[in-house]
Amino acid sequence: MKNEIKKQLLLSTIVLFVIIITLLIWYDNFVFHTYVTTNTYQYCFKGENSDFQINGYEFYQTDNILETGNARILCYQSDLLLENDEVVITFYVNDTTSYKDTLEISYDNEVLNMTVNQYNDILSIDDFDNPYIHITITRDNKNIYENDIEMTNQDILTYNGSNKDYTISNVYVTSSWLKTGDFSCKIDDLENQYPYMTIDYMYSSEEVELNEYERFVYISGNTKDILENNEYQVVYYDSDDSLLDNDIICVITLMNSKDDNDPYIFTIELKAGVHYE
Amino acid sequence: MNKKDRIPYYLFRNALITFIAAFISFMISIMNYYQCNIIEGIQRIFLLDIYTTLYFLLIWLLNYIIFEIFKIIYDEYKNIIKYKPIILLIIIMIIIYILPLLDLFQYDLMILCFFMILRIIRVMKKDH
Repeated sequence: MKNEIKKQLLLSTIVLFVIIITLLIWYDNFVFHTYVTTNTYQYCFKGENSDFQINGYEFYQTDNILETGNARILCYQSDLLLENDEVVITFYVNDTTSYKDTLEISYDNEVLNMTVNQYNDILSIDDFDNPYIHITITRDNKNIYENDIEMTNQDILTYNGSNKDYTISNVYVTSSWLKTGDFSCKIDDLENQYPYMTIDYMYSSEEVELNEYERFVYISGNTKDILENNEYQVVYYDSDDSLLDNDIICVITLMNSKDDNDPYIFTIELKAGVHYE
Repeated sequence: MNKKDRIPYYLFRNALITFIAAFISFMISIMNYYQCNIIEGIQRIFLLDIYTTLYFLLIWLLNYIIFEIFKIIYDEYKNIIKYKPIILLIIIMIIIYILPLLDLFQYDLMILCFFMILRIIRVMKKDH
């Protein structure tokens, strides 16, 4: 073997070991940031007529469980929803599949928030064929309102953000709706170091000055519970412009106790990534 | 064109095939994990997270160095060993397949071995 080739080989081998060591050191970090848990799918429907606006009707699948509902129903007429009325919302995915939900009105002109229902179905976007909601209102056993509202599937963007140790992932955003995401971290005993935490979701608003943000939803509680990611919040952006045009950031506050005067606060900027339809 | 003039071409060709090996393995791994399409896969590799992108570049560099080392050794001994390394590479591929590695590394190293086999066949045919 020539001397020159020997030198080349030696240099390549040294570089190879450096790369392998770097890959090993970075492995956990890479897996933490690359393979994050996610829903199988997430759809969000919106529809309105002159009487009602229904926003944020969700279909999402985790493992083999389909969860539906969670929508907000706004009534534009002042005498349509009165105390003790019964509202039946039936979402027709297509001619054969529908999901029904019954709501009781607790006070006049209530803004209705639908509950989440679980089913063992698996849907795909191809199953949705001209979806619509059939809404009926019953007052004193009499049917006073019945109508169909065409539902459109909203474009969903998934927002993610991270720094070296903390990640916020799977924040689902449409032009008028946001669903909070998963919080994860690489630090093993974060719940012992900081038992309480708050995640504030903020959006940049054109009404306030540049670089200022408004808070519109937050998750607060025990760090252990938040790390398990069982709780999601949805929030609606009732403005003429699209929420997708605003910057969204998360402010994370980690606290030693509930009234910690010197909490650890940092910001994670969320970036729009994957596009769902 | 003498051999020295063609060095940039060789370097580019090696860079390209090692990139392809890294890219295909990342895509298969990520598309399997997220059950997503090609566009989302590309976004997840290059746009979503800097740590994923940097790891991708490192894997590419790893592929490049492994391929270079293979080339140096093979070109030195090709007249003696001829087709024999193919058997060794196939055995390595089977071992990689059995080892409990992250699927990304399995795909990557197996694709790399496959490219090495292709190169051996090409060099042997050229020399005949």
